[in-house]
Amino acid sequence: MMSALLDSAVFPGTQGGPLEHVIAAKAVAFAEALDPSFSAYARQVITNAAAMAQAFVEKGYNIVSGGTDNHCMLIDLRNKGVTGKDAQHILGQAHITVNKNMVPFDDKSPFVTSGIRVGTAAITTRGATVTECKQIVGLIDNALRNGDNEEELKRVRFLVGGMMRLKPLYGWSVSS
Amino acid sequence: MTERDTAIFDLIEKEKWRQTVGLELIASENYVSDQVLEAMGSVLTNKYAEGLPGKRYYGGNEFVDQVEQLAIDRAKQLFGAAWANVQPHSGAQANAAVMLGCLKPGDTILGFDLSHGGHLTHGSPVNFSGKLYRPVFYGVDKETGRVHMDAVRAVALKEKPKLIICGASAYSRDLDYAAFRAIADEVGALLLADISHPAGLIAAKQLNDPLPHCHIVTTTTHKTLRGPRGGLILMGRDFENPWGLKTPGQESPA
Repeated sequence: MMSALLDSAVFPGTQGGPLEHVIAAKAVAFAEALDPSFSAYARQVITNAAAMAQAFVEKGYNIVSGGTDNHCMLIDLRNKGVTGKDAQHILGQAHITVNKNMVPFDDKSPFVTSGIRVGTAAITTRGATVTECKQIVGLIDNALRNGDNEEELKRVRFLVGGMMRLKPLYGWSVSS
Repeated sequence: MTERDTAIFDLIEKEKWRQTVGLELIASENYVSDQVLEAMGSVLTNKYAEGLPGKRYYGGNEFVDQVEQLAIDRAKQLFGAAWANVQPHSGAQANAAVMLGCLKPGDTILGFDLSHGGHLTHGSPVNFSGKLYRPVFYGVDKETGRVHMDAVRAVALKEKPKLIICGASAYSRDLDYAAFRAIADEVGALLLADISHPAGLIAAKQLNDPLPHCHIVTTTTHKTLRGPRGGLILMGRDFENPWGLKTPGQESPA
């Protein structure tokens, strides 16, 4: 049967001993995902992503396919005069972490790229709301329009820190 | 007693500070719970457990077996799967295992173009999947930015892949798994869904469910699923492999 074939393709086919500490952590995470609170989280991830995509579009950004059904969006920056590589660097100075990403039919190399990829899975875990997602788009836009203005990037970094310091890293599973 | 390794633990504290004050928008990242962290930092890391629960090569696995069986049972319940393997170290390892199990070197695979939002392990020339197999690709429509199923079907009919992979790392739209399956059936291919990115959203029933339509489903356990860094293979139902490939133990003498 296919199950026997796949079991043996994992071990001994492509791996040695399994990482049982990670498997235990997977079991914990699966139980967390079976809890009704996880459905609320997943819905919020999608709601937040849709709000971010809409806010980007309102500020003149091109989202590939025009929007999102899931947690992520790919932003084509070619009309904004900044490469994916530079955008990643500028936002990094403001403590906003994104990754540069090729866009479909990109004319730049994978090391430069014309886009950035943005997703809401992590910030939603930290408790970000639709209102904050719209604020975040404003901060990103501000940083990208002031990429060579150190004072402005410092101000965005201050606002990011103010937003995130209030949201504890761990403990969400206890408090929610 | 050895001294505390401050070189490493100071850096971990700095990373914790970075994660706390920074705005994390990388689409493939998330924050795990205290309990997930605690399990990863446990003594289970000391144990060798080659094999499957109840069928191990080494002794002393009476508790590890129960841990892994719980992981398998919960994965099956979460995704409505008939079968699960929770051992892949990563999504890339899960995809490598599926290809090893289903294909022979040189077989044709049809995946989503990396530069259009696909993944390295779906046939990129720099990855094992593009080196060991013959990769062909579908992409998004230039006008709509979406995957159009008639374009996928056209490539499949022309190239006759043995495996079709649906799934992406930078695609913001849901996928029509039933339409992918119809194409796979038409050309006699197996259908693999790599749901690494939206797995948590699928588990929470917020997006289309690939399990009823795809022969095999792989995923990472981090990203939207919010677990530890790792991989998982699922099947909605078990089936005879269509090409008569055997597991090593089942091979008949030549």
